[in-house]
Amino acid sequence: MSRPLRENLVVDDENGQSWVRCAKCSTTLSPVDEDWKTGCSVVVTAPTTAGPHRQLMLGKIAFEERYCPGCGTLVDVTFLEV
Amino acid sequence: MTQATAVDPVTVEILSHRLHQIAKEMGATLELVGGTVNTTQMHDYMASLYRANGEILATGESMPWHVACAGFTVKKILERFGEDNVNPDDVFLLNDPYVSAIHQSDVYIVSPIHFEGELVGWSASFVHVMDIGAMTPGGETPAATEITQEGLRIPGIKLIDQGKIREDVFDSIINMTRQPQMVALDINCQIAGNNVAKRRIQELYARFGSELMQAVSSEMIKGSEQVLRRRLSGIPDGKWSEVGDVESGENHWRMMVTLEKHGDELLFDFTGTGEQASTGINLPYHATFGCCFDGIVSTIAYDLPKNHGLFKPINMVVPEGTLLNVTYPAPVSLNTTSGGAMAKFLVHSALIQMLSGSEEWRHEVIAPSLGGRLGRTAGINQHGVYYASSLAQPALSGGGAIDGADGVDSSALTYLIAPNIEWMEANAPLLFLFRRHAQDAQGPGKYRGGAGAEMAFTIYNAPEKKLHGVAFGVAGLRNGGRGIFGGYPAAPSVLVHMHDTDVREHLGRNELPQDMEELSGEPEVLGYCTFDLKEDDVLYYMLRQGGGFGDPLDRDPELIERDLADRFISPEAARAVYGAVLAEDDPTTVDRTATEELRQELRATRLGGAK
Ligand SMILES: [Zn+2]
Repeated sequence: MSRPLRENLVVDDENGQSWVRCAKCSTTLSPVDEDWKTGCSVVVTAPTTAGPHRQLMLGKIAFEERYCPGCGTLVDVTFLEV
Repeated sequence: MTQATAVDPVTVEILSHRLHQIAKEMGATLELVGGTVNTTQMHDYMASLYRANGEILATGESMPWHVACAGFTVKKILERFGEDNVNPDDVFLLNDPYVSAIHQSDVYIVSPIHFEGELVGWSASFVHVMDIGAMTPGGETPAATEITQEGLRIPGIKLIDQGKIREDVFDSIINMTRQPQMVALDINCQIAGNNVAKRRIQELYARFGSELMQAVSSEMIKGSEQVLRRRLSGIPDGKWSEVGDVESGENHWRMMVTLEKHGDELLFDFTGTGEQASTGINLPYHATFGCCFDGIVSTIAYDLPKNHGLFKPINMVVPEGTLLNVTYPAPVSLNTTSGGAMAKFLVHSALIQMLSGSEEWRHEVIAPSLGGRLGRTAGINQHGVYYASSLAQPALSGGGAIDGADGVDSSALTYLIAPNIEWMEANAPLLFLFRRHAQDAQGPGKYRGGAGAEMAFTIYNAPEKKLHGVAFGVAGLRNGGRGIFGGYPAAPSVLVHMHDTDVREHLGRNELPQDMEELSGEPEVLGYCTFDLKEDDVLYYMLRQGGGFGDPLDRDPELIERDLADRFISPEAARAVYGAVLAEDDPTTVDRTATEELRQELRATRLGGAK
């Protein structure tokens, strides 16, 4: 059985175990009781990735972007101090 | 039914609506009698009704934490004066943050309401008054290191004694400020609002009787509590933490909350929050409680009558002597828009985590915002009169995105309104070069954050050829909207002081510069500070923008076309951020096939660079 967890992530129940998976390509990120972020591909990008007006942040703050390793869907963006 | 209801639900509903209308009429009266920028141009006020014991009964369109703290103020007035000394047609004033206020500029005026000699309720309001006699004009005092530098502090005073104004007291208060007439107007419009509410409540009591009105009041509060508890019970239990830093230049002050939910009870534990600061970002305990109330009201209880019932499931732990439970004599004047903004953000973010785990609530989750910059100017205006005035623009902030919809554009703070630029220019020696939606500044996402305004102004017809400025609000480059579920954060809200520009030359040629790039000069990004704005200077102001929801590469091309037409995004950002290929013969149309191909490439590129 598959149930939505949040945008682009689902929880799949299989043979008594539950997994966090990508809703688009079904790649498994982690068991449900672990941090699914550990299963993501991570890229550190410049804040200007999100557009102009962020030049002041360059060299001070970056984005840590997490993708589904199967299809490259972006599932999380957080600030990272450089 | 397990419990007998003293009054039928239809009557409760009708009288509840009547009470809420009275609270709204109270605010409308305050605004009509008022005349300052805060009351008429910005709505930086609150007007609500309370029960005899200070419990919240009905609120107008008001800031929730002030609704909470005005209720605490009623309790403190009762404690100080005793019910025997609270007489019909008395009016009390209190603005002491070490009693129940948030910062001194936000002055509470509370009026007891009597019916047939019995205390049956209170009308209470706050206005951010035009000045409070602090070191810095207007109240927010970046240089203050203790509260004694932040203006007059009144722990509770009887301003009107049984209908007779105490002129000696009133004059003493307004004379301790830089703008006595304006502050008198602020206080008077609060009294007027309170009076109208008092009269309307007395009319209701005369028509329906004390017993029924009291029963209805109890049912209203019980109703909100019951629905909130039922909603909480349907959400999975758990524990969620959020952490953030209040920033200004090199200074970082850590705040933290852990939210625990068990059944229908919530515990907000702020353990881990740093020691109180010697800069006025600190919050008193009751204001931190107000932040929790704000979080509930703006998430899981957004559609419920905002009354004391919503207080009941909230429990709170805040260690004393920290940024969120400050002890005397630490300063607080910057708190509403710095430490308070952070505390609300943390509470809101923790609640979002809680709601995201609920199938019923996760679609209601809105990308949170940490708030943005604010400013004030002061000096001699074009009429030769001293003034100190907020820039009053935050209503034009962008809201966070939600599942299924972009954030609201330039109206994120629903209880505030945007000032009329002509009014601002008529009352202060300012000339606005532009005020518009910022392009490409919202947080991108499948649903983008709401666009907020950007603007720039210079001084104009200022007799002293300069003005005094104050920069406050949330500083740092991580303010504004945060993205959720793969959405990006917004660009930071900033105040940039451009020194020694050629703006006068442009004006001499009858040109209003429409872009900061057109101006020469040295930019300085302001933290919490005061500054002098001279004739050749320009102040650039970017308000907070909304954070995005979901992966921008999932955004519907039709929405991108709409954003291009509205100039919310540029063609460059449409391609780089959203992966949209624009038709060669029509740059307002997205080529669907080419876009899908480019998006596939971009997703592959993401993984190519990943660890
Ligand atoms: Zn995937």
